[in-house]
Amino acid sequence: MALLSVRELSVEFATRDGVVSAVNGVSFSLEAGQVLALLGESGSGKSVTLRAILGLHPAVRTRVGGEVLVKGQDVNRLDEPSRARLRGRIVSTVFQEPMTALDPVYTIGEQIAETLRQHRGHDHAAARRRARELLDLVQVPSPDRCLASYPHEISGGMRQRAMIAIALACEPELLLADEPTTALDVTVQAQILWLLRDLQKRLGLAVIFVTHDLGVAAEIADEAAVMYAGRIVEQAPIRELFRRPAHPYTEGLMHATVRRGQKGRPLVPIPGAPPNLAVLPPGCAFAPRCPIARDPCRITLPSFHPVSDGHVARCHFVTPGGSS
Amino acid sequence: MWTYAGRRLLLAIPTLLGASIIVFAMVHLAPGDPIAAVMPAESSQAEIEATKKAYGFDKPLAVQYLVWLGRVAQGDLGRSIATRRAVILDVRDSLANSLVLALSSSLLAFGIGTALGLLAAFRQGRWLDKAASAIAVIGVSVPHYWAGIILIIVFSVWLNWLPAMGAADGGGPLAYLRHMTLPTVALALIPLGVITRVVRSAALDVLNQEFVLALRAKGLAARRVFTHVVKNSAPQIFTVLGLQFGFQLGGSVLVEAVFSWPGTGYLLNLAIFQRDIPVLQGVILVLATFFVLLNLAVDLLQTLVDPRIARH
Amino acid sequence: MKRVVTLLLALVLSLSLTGLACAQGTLRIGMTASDIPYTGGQTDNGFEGFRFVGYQIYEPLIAWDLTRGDRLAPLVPGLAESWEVRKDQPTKWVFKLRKGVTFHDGSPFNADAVVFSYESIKKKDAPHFDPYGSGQVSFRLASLTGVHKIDDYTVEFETNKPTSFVPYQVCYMLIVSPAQWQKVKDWRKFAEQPSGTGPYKVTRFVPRERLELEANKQYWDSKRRPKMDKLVLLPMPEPTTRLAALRSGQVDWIEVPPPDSIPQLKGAGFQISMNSYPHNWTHTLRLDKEPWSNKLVRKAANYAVDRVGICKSLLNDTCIPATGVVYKGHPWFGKPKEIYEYNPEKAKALLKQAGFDASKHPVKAVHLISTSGSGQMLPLAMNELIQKNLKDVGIDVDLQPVEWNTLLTRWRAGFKTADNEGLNAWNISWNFLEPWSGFGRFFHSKAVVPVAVNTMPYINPEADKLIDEAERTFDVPKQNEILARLHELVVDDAPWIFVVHDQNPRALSPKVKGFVQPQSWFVDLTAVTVR
Repeated sequence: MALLSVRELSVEFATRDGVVSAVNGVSFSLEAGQVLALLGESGSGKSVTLRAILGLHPAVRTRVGGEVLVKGQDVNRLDEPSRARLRGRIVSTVFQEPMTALDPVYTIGEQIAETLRQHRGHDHAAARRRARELLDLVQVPSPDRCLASYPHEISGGMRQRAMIAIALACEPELLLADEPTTALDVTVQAQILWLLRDLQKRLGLAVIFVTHDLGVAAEIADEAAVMYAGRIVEQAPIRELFRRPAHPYTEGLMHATVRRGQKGRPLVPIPGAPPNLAVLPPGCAFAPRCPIARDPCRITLPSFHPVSDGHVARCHFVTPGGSS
Repeated sequence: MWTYAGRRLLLAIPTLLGASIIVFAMVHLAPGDPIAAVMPAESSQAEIEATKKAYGFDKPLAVQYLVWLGRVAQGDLGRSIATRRAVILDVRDSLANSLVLALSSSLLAFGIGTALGLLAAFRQGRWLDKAASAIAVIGVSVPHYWAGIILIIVFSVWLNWLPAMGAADGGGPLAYLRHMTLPTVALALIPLGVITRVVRSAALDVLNQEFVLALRAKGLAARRVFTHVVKNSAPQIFTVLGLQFGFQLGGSVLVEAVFSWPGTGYLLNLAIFQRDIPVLQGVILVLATFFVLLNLAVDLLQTLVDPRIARH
Repeated sequence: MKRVVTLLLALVLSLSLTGLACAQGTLRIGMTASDIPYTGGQTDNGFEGFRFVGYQIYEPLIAWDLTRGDRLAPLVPGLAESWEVRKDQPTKWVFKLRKGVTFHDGSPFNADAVVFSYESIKKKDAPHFDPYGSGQVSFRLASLTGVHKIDDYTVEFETNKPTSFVPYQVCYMLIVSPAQWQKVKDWRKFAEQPSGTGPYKVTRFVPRERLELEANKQYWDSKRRPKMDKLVLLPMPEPTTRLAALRSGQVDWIEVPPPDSIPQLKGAGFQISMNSYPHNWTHTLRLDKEPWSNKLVRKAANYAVDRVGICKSLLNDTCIPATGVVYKGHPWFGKPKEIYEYNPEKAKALLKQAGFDASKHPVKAVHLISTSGSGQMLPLAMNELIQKNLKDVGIDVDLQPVEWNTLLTRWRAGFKTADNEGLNAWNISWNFLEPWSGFGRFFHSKAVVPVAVNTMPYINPEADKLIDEAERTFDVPKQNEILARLHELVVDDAPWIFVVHDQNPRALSPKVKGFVQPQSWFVDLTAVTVR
């Protein structure tokens, strides 16, 4: 049984402008210890997918469809207390901006400890001991001071380490990392990334790593899924994806970002803008921006076409073994 | 913390001095003659002049102010023209009554308002939220003296359950409680509305912050998340509570008049109509002092609950 | 949840029941005063102060007989058994004092108490001079210049000129206990533990809230010993508060219920008590300036006002039309030539005769009115109706409403100040308890502002003569006759727009029995019982 299995996940929000389909039929699965990168521009549904995995979308004005099986349990069918038992204990989250994701009026120590008390029933002393261990684990140089600090009193990098410590407090099996390095300085970014990779290996964590940065994905992931307009448009082992991007959007992304070994090549932005999620076209959502789109693209939604073993892409012009 | 409090206290002195000048000027420059108002309508101009002299109202304003300030500094607020009691006694008695009313109505409004506001925020967009908003709108838009009259008509005149006016009838604590019930409810309406609205929006602000999502994402029980939200909204809630409590003390003139509740508002009302300048000055000054101290207390309380506000 | 509701209900019910266990024979009165009238002898808050505090705790040497409602309340012996002016020296009055009267503190009433009380009002350098009380009453004793003790029960008053009005002044001088004052030596403290000879004595004094009095069982006049045990006075300046307090059973008696509440109150079984008394509600006109300098115009205005309409439609018959300074049936009414009824045609004819014309040359005037005030009834509504009445016959009156105390202050200063220069009249209500307040202060040429309040000014040698003659006439029926002639004169000159006489409505709970409303500003509460 896969650790996580997402099937035909859809998330719709009722807004003033109509129903927005943020996620449309996303399916993937993840084994223990596996790292999946979710790639795509902002608004492509990556973060929404992550929240759906935790069942965090509010009940009002939101419809979540499909299945999210965490160790065989469908999150969408669980009641709130059962979901809460999954969160933090089986599946943890690291957010993009630790400054806003940490409660400003509680100390770091309190925020780690309350997680432990919630799931492990630790008493005060035990929670504190464990909190200190965790800060050691995430390589915070002066853990005692950090424990007593409020989020605004420590640096951005330290805050993100603290955030990771909170996420790891109850030894989860799956870590959802929502652009955990984007908000940080470049040097700090690298440190955090190494830390995450190191922890992943040492603890045997499964990770879903949301990023719009292909380079970061290449550093950490085993597998990558590219999202566009709420759909996965291409999924492949990470090296395969870089070697043979099959979807025009993936290709566009690669041209538009800096990547190791591509020095000297000019960056080519993808023309146009992502579609309005409230009025998705019937065909391929990327068609209006796609250099190779033809009439069928605008009429029928392409299904996954196999590219190679474990490599699929939603494009009418994919042929097995070759690029479009 | 204590040095901060001490410094704030020192800063309050010029504020109070300024307030005393404004109080004095307002009271004296307002139209109406303090002596003429307490003299019988039939008395002649000459009689009035003589009495004015006896009270020192014939001296230049600046001199009157300094004399008054000098006495205030010694804790003497002068004597009422109308009752000839020491103003400090009148102010003390009425302040006690007003504090009771301000406290009871504040507690009522704070309790219900905070609960409603938080519930509304956590149930945003649902019927409970809409009901709370409706209550808030009614609370702030119904004139409280009007509400007072309605309460009197219903509970005093029709049902004969509760007394319509006065404080105690000399009947002990139970009678006092009975007398304060209706004015408390009438006085609680506006702060109830204001607090509900402010608490709702403060809690919503907090709820929309990412850390709340993060708290839920780490599996905290709803109860614990609630605690976090409350603690984060607390500075804003304290501010509005402090302000409202101050308003309760100073702003209950109409309600106290409707219920003849012998508090500062009632005293102020009487003093205004009687042009009882020493009483007016005394009451306003004491209220102003109270307000300044209250603001100070709120500030200090905020530094206690919000670590982001520097304590120095 | 159900249990909570039951508990709450039980609590509310038990709370409400405690209010019912009231002492028998207690009369609780909601006054219009905003404060408890001054209890230290010479009371304040005008005649309401005298009504409920002054004349209940204290007594004058000459008192009002308030036991009948069918005649104007006359002056009768109070703490003095008799008095007379010396025939040889008409500026000296000898008062024989009542024996065997004691103050509430047990000390005896005698000539020393009279001298002491007089000095507290008039002798500015006396240690027991009370500047506040003096300010309240001194001007009512304008003619008195001194008093001295002849023996323990005889005193002699001196006046500045021969005047028959002395009894009308002495009746406002309340006799306080010198012994009690010596105990506290401070009028403020005295006011908290007052001592007089009146039918009620103070038991509890809560400033600005309530005054509790109990029956004086030792009261000297056995016929007037109070029938009830307790009297409680509560200041309630707000009419709606008084009404609510009466209807909720918190008080048994309220002064001046709002006129529009009277039918309801009657329907609910409350008693409405009314009677004529010396009160009039008028527009005092400016006589040295157009348009009211013209007598024909003044008369026209008096014929234009629909007094019956005002009483019926606005005030629910809590007043009667006024066609003069005093009302018909009053000893000073006489037989005026003009009886001002509602006659717009006559008013138009008079205006035409005076050379005015509704369209081409209308009468224009500015009248200062108050927004509320003691005795002012419903000034805004009444004045709007009057304005319309006057407009109908071609008199344009611009109403300028001001706050009551402002009106009084401006009125005292007269028309000739910068503020008042543009005015043509003021609307104020008066009392006419005695000849001076009824006529002298308004219509004598020597009473022109600032001496007194002849603001108009009304200068009429014949009126002066009649007033002086009345003052010199010591025989009351003869004096009344002279005043009636004066009244006829004033009515014919129409220096005022006479509007209404208030009927002093008060609402009483059905439990209150035995009250007779006299033709007076004051009341006798000794015969009242509360079931």
